[in-house]
Amino acid sequence: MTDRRPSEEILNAFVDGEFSPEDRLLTLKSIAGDEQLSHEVCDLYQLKELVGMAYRHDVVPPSLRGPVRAEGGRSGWWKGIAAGVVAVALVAVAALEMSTEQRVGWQDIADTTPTDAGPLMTPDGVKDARQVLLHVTDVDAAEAKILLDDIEFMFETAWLHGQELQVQMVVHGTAMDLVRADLSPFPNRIRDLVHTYSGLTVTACGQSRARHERAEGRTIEFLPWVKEVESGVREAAQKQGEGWTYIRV
Amino acid sequence: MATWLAQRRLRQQVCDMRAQLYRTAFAWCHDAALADDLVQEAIIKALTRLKTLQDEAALKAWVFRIMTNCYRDWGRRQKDTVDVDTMELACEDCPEAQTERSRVVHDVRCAMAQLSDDHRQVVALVDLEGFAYAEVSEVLEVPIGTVMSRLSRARTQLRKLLLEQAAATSPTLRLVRNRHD
Repeated sequence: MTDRRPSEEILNAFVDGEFSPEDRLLTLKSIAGDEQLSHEVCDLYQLKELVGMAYRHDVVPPSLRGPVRAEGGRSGWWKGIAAGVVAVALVAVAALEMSTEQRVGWQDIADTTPTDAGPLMTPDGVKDARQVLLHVTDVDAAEAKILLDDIEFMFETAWLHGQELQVQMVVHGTAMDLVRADLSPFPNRIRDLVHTYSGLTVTACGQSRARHERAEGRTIEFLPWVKEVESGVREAAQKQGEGWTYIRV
Repeated sequence: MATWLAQRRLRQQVCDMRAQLYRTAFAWCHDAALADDLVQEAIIKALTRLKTLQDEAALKAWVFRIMTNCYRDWGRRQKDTVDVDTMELACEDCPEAQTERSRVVHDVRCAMAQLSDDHRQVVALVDLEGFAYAEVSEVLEVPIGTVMSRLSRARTQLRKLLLEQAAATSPTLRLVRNRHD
């Protein structure tokens, strides 16, 4: 247990994606260093997921269902994320210069241009900004398709520039369906991406799987090309601590 | 012409929010007929006041604020007969607990129904509609710190209620406690 344990309000804000990249990093570090805290954060993610499930789209009368949720949840975030992912790729593979602070969040990254950039360095001073962590916690099928398209675009752009690129997806929460063998809307697409691009790793949270198994009373399998990590939150925290560019999806 | 087109586009956007509004209204009151009435009232008010909207980007929060006020008005009208904060909300739309998933849905809705009105509103806006805290602050017209504290307390209580339900009736929701002991 760390001396400066985040308050309940802070943990909730973390789960709801309310933080600036800097604050998010600080909270992630606290979580990574405390197993109990990590479990509490997973609980909050799961509680959020349960509430969403209890009132999801299928409880709305058919007469009211229409072209809704065009924004897909948090207002306008997806366009920003997509733009951020693409911008990360463009910035990273072209080895543009960019400060560490600018690398922390997609919004800053998206705003970064070749003319206003600084040195491309990790916190340790190692020149390597081609490591991108995509923390996928809440996507529907349409959004997942855009995400996979963006990943492919990143690798294609990197290949065109002769650059190495590492991308890791860490999937958990309501996004778990994306990597489940029985529910994934794009199993072949994910397989093709993983087989085509050696720098791509798709990981899923083992704790989330255990919870889903208990909820559904049956064994859940991930797609064969998906690697399981013990805790999605901890994996994200660890990678960010190692200097990976962190993007929450 | 441009203004007319903009108004027409906004009207369409308001109408497209019906399902979202209904889901949130239902999560607040757990009464299908009342939720329908609230949505209808909110949409009519939004459409008639559309020209007063200052910032088009804030349309969604603006419409939800209108529905919040409709709900408050309804609560005030009920005050003489029933206290909206303490009344027992019927889960009439809850599915029977025949499958694991429907049991979870049932349990979560019942737990939500036991929250205070303020807490239930915040949870629904954040978890169902994905509003940012600043937007919730605008919708409910309370400071952002109040949003954070209400949400934190609401989730703490929700978790407690779900654990109690799980212990009393079903093993299904033990999953809300992510423990490995």
